[in-house]
Amino acid sequence: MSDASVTSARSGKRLSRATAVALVVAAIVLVTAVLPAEYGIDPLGVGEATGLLDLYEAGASLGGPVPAVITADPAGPLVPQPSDYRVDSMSFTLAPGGSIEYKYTLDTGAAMVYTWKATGEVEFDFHTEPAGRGAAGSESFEKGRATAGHGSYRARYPGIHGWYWHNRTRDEVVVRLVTSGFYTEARQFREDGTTRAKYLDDVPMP
Amino acid sequence: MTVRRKIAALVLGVAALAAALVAYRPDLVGLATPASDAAPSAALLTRQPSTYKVDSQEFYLIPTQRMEYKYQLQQGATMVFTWTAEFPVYYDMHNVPEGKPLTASERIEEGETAEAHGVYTAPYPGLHGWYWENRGDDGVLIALKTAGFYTGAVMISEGEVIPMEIQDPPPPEPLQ
Repeated sequence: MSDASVTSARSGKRLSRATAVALVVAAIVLVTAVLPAEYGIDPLGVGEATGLLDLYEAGASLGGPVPAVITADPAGPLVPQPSDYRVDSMSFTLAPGGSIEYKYTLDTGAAMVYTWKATGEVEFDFHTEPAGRGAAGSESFEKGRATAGHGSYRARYPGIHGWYWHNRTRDEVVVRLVTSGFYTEARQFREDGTTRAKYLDDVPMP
Repeated sequence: MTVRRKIAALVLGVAALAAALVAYRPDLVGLATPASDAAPSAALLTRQPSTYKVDSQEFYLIPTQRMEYKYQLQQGATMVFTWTAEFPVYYDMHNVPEGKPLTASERIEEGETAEAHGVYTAPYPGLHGWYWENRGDDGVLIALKTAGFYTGAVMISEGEVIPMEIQDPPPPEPLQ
């Protein structure tokens, strides 16, 4: 046996040993991290100990309660909902300088379509208050001045989601709002600090 | 030779670790886009140029009868929907991309159920809706209602495409 073939045999062994080590490492990562975090499979209990299993559970609960027959990606085109959507409509008369807020309770993934029209230009701000965080966690999605607004909105977290309208003209302005969506309640916040809740019942089927 | 093999072993090892990383966090290595900017459907607030429309329909299917009902939606346009049937029926929610024949449909979901509710955002322009088939032994009544930014609706039955009328939402109630 020549020196070259001895070296070659030895390095062959090293190669297979290194490959085996790499495969073992990959397998350990798979069993202890990938399976618990991505698929909720935790054969050794390591996922629970390290908290990686929580990642899977957090991901699974993001979409909220969904019927068993339907499973869809919350970021995909379809987000199933557990029950009927509701319909709501309101008119608000705003004196010069007057304002009002009107918001809907929406869970994560719940959406609504809306249309509002005003008889004069109003300042508006579509914003949210995440559940449990109140005004401190408020996030604004659209603001400006307009006489109408149309669109759809999908909630990224549970909380109240809606509009602030402010009449900056010298005349009375009437704002009319119509919405359809997966909310169960609307809340009106008036300038005098009072709040009114409106419970929205199931809409009877045609 | 030895050095080359050592390098090969090292490369293999690194590759295996990289594969594990890709499997575990594809977003870290740029192989998966985060959901927030993946598709137009993921946009949270989508402005539309004019008011949304509403529609409500009832269909009666005799045993083995089938039909389709679809809405014309632009890319990113959203609708909310609810449908109920007297007993579970086979359904298939799918769409037909604009400019393609009716047979070029893409399935969103299918199953057998007596009710479904949800929010749908069109991933591309076209016709988006349902196929229902009564596989039971009795006639079944299906009630559908929707609200959304569609521009039209069609019913497809026995190979015939029938345009349907859609409505404006009801006028608002005055402030109490």
